[in-house]
Amino acid sequence: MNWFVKTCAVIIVACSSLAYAGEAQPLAQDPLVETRLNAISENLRCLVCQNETLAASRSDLAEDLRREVRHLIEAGKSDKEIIEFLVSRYGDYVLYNPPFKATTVLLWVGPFALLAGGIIGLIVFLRRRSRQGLVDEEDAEPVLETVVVPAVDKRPTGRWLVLLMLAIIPLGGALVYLKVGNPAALDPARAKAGPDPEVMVARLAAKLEANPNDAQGWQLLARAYLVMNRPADAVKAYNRILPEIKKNPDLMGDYVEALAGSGDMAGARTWINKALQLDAKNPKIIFLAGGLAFEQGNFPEAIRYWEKALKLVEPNSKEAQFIQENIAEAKSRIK
Amino acid sequence: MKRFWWFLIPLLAFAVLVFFLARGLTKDPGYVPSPLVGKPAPTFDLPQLQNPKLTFAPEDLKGRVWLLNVWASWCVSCRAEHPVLIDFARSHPDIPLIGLDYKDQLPDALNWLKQHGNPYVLSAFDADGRVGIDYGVYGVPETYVIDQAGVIRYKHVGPLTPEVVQTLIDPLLKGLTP
Repeated sequence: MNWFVKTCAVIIVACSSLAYAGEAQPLAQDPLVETRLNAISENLRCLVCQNETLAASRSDLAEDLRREVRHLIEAGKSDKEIIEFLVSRYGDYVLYNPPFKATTVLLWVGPFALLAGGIIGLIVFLRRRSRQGLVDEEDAEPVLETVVVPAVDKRPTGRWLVLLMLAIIPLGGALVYLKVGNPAALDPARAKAGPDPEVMVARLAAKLEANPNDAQGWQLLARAYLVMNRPADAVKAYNRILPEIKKNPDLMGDYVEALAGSGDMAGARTWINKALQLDAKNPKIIFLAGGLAFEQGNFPEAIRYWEKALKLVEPNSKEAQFIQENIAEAKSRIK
Repeated sequence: MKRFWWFLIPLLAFAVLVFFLARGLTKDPGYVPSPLVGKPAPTFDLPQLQNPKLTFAPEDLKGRVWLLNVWASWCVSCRAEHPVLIDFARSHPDIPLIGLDYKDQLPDALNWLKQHGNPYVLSAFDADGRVGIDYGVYGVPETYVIDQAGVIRYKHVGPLTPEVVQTLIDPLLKGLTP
């Protein structure tokens, strides 16, 4: 229904490459890099405050290490190489998930060995006692026996009671886990998917509330909201950095997208005019101005803007193709 | 009689558990074993704090046993450690003590050395902490013993004390130097 809502994701992708056609986008603001940085540092321990992850810690060292990881991501290193980089300096200690090797055998195998030992011990104990119970009743009355299992087990039902208990305990555990636990975490595919973007965005929003002067942070948050199709929230985030926006036509363009997406067409018009005054040769702004005209039903004006934008981008590029599609659409509306 | 021995098993298991728990209490939970011990010291080339036109690289000391001490003017424990280092430099004239001034401001660092005395032959100035990351620094002060081949033989995290110097570093240095 709304041109901006419909083309929102496309605009963001296409327009950012439009706007940055000349220069590389500062990668620290690239949501993809930030997402990978978060996913990696979520599983690493901060060396200074050792019960916090590298993602959560605010210590100086954690910030340095995040910066380092960000550089490595930008340099095109894989997650594995990045983790190796940190392990070679700080040891396995940085991993929340310790690797299986000679020094950690006890850690990984120990609990299972103890469980197996316990079960074997129990079986041996029960067998011996039932045999003794048949041979010598007097002898089969040690102190332990009266405590552990009542005298019922002299009859064959006693063994069944024990087996029943053996079945009930794990089953009960599983049921309790299903009720209060998080069974989704057991699915390795989902566990590896990394943190939920919604959660990460909420976390970023909370961080910014605590540290509202972080203009880059607000910008990142607003962009994330736009990608998530929450333009009203994006507008709120952009409102926190209005002085910043007034200086930067590209940011104005983003702000216009958010305003238009959230239905504030009057606001969008005001800001697009300001942006056009500031930078009349910015293809992204011109493209958006066309979008606004299109949205108001003024198709000839939309076409005029878009044809102007078309001259400013590289011919035959993805952007050019996208603009041509929009022009075609507007032309079909005139007829 | 045989049954008596069976009762000993839980008691024994309990004793083992208590032993390990008690041992755990005596260990420092903040201690992180460094994977760098036994490996060549990471190389770097940093300006010298007091003479920024000159640089220092670990290769400059190849063939000698030396100490690298990570410090900073903002580091409180470094102040506690400082007299130990002054003593060490005085009593070990043949072992170069090199400082790595970690994430510091130049005037602050110079001031600090002026105020408290300079035990270092020279200090390398690691303004952004990049070299610190290569050395796995996570709690200043840290001290590395590096041998003739440039291999890290020992890493101490936290302030050096006279006890650490006497019981750990001195015997190690004696073993390394002929």
